[in-house]
Amino acid sequence: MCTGLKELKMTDYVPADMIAEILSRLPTKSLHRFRCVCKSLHTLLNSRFIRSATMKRNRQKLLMLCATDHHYYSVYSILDLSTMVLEKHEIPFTISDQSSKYSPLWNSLSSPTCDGWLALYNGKKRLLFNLSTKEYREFPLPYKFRPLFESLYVCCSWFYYDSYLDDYKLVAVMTNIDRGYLLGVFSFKRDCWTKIIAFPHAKHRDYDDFSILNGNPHWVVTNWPEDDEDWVPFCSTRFVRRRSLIYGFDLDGDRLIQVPQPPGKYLCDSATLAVISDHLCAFCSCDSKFSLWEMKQYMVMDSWTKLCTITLPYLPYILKPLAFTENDGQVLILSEKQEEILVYDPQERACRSVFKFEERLPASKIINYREV
Amino acid sequence: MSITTENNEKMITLMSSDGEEFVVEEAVAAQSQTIKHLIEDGCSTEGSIPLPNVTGRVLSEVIQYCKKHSSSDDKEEKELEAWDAEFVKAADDHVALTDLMMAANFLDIKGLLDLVAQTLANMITGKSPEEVRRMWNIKNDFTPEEAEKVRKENQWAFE
Repeated sequence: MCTGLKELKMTDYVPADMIAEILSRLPTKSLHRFRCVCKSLHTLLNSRFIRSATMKRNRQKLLMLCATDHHYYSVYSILDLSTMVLEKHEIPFTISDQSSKYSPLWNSLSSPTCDGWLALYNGKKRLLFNLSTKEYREFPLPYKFRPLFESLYVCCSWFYYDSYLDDYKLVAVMTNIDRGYLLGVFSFKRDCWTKIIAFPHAKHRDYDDFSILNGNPHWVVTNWPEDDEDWVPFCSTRFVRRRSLIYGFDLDGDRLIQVPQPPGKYLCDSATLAVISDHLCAFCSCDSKFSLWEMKQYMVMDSWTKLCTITLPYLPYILKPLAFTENDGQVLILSEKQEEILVYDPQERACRSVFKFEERLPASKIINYREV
Repeated sequence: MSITTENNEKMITLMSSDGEEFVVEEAVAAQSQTIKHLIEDGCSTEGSIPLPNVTGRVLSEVIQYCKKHSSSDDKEEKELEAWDAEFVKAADDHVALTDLMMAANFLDIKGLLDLVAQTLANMITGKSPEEVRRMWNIKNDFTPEEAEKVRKENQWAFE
């Protein structure tokens, strides 16, 4: 170990992993600025080491997309979960969801965990939009898809970071109503689509709401009961004790997986699956109570743990867990119907409303991500 | 060489790269996961544990940190934080801190590594690339065209 070698270059006598140890503790802005210092820092700051190290330390945020009127989207809000401060931002280009018959505008929104890139599709243009830098660029279509594409639309897409290949990938589920579903994987490193396969759609109604865990999509498939006796009255609505199953798709093995349910529980009618802090979470219902469960270890049924039980004065369309706050273990929950975000406080064992939206804000328009 | 003191605390001898010997309580030395594993493997029973990567000057600082952190319990968290702040302040500059960080890494003392790496990060957080170059003694090896391009790509980080 050298001492007093001020005349030596820091990058020469300090190993790269130690430099990375320092740099990974810097805020994003400093990291981008220091890419200008020299070539070796530029390389280091682009490496996966720094990316994965900074990812863990970054602040958890919620991205919420709001329409300015019914069809034009130009604003998004970001809620910082450590300060609970809400900021409004403008999107530097105009998108209208009137431009396409299928208008999968925000449906194609992906979880912006990779350097803040967001995938948008407005029916005409496919854009990648960076939340930190506000840059945007078009991304290409698979060549083989071109003749087909006009009849295909992206109903859902998401990013994931392939740590084995050190590559960012964009996965898109595309469909045309007659032809069924296709799943494509686009590699940013190779700048092309690396995989296009048929995607088993397993009677799923809303393809726009996947929960992405380890880069793989997870969703709930509901089997409607054939027998009328399975329906039970609830809050003046017919409510069903039906079997919902959780499925996942393994992108490495190209296979459908069935995920175990919370033991002895059914997923509730209005519940949505979500991924929070790298765990699958889901609501189960019993009478007028909703209990939130978390699968602490992936694919292990016994690891489903009940986090809280909430009671609401109304029956929500969708109840979706959004995030846990970092300091005191509160849970943020979106309730579709009242269009509000609720906070469950474990100390008080009660929910209170923290945000009310003026218009309908579907669960798929709220994304939990970490700032980069 | 293990010696036992009056209060029955087992002592361990550590030897720095420049041959300086330090006799410390086992509990203090075991703050370092590396040393802890060496002790568990029976490497400390004969003679001293050689630490070829750490100089005596750095090792004495590391021991100072380990002593403080093995004697304090959780209740004194605030006091310990203040002590840590003073401790990194006392290491005069980033070169000394870098040596300390590499020692913490080699000896696998997580608390010390976090503390020093964060201090070093804080020293450069608000700095310009030119200031970082001066501080870390790095030459700008971009051609003017490359420099312009990288600067353009990261322009937002300068605003």
